[in-house]
Amino acid sequence: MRTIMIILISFSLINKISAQDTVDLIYDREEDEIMTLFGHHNVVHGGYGALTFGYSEIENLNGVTIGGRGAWIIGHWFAMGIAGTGFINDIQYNSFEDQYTNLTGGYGGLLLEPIILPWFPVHISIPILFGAGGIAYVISNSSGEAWETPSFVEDATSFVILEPGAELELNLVRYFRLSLGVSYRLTTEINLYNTSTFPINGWSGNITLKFGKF
Amino acid sequence: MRNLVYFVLLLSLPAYAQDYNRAAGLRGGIGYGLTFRQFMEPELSYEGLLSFRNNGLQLTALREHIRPANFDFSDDFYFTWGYGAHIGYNYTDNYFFMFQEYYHYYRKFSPLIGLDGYLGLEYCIPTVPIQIGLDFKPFFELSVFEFFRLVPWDFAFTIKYTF
Repeated sequence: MRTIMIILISFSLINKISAQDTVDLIYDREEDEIMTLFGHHNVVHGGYGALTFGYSEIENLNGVTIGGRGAWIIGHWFAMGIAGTGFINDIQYNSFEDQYTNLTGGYGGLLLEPIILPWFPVHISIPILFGAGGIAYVISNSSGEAWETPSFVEDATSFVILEPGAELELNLVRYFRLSLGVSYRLTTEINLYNTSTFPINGWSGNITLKFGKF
Repeated sequence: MRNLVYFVLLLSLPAYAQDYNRAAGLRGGIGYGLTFRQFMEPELSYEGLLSFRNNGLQLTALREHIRPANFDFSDDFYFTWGYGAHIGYNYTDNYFFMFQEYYHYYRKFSPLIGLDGYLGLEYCIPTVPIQIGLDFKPFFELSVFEFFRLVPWDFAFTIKYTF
């Protein structure tokens, strides 16, 4: 009888040790997993392409902007991609030089965009662009309708830019969103002929059309 | 009996969205050039495009989804859509932006990088291994001397040999 008891106790101990080993193995495997900001499992991926149209004052004149974006959306609430924007301001007559002049250029770079409460039909996103760009001082010799004549790049230079923004985003249909927003451009010093040091710094109002899987 | 064998053989063929694995050909439009498509899955392909606009060279890679159009009059039409990116350069003294043409005083080598969307309709001619199509590839790009370019109207005609 004692022998049987010893055998049973031995088996139960062995089983306990084995069970402990199994738990340790599972625990080790989970411990080895790399933890991520977006969670371990079932992270949903999407993406979108967008067109942006905006208004902004550039060098104290009316200006318009047109832009594009392409971004990867991680877990519905964070987008990361690249974005670019072109801008042009109003043509003005420079009587001193007897020429028509204006500023034009573009910039682009990395786009980071937290999306707050993306499941709600109306929500907020915070697009932040960090990149570089160029600006040109262009002239036209025509005394006629300046928009219809070619312009020459008289001077051009580059800059680094940071453009944070905020957008009110409307989920119109599943694959299309409309955003209304504002952004503020901050650039490094710009040394351009006959132009102030920060000609494009300032607010911009934007409408963005987003197509994709959100 | 022979029909039964043919039927079984037909069922055993891989169910590709289109009846080929690769296609190579020409693309017109603003981004004109040479194109090559490789199917990776039955309804998923990757396409490479070598284009030559503005005296330069651009290499575009597209990821494309392909589905039958299911028109009543033909089973040989397919919709394609996808996205991609391109890299390359322009070598030119002028560029068009915001309804106006700008000139530099001499040609400039301008490296560029951009993103592309893609939407197309293709027709596979049943009797020959030729495919023709119309596509729409809007893109934007950043470049050193042209700064920013948005082209929402890059429509093109394509003709490809399928194999």
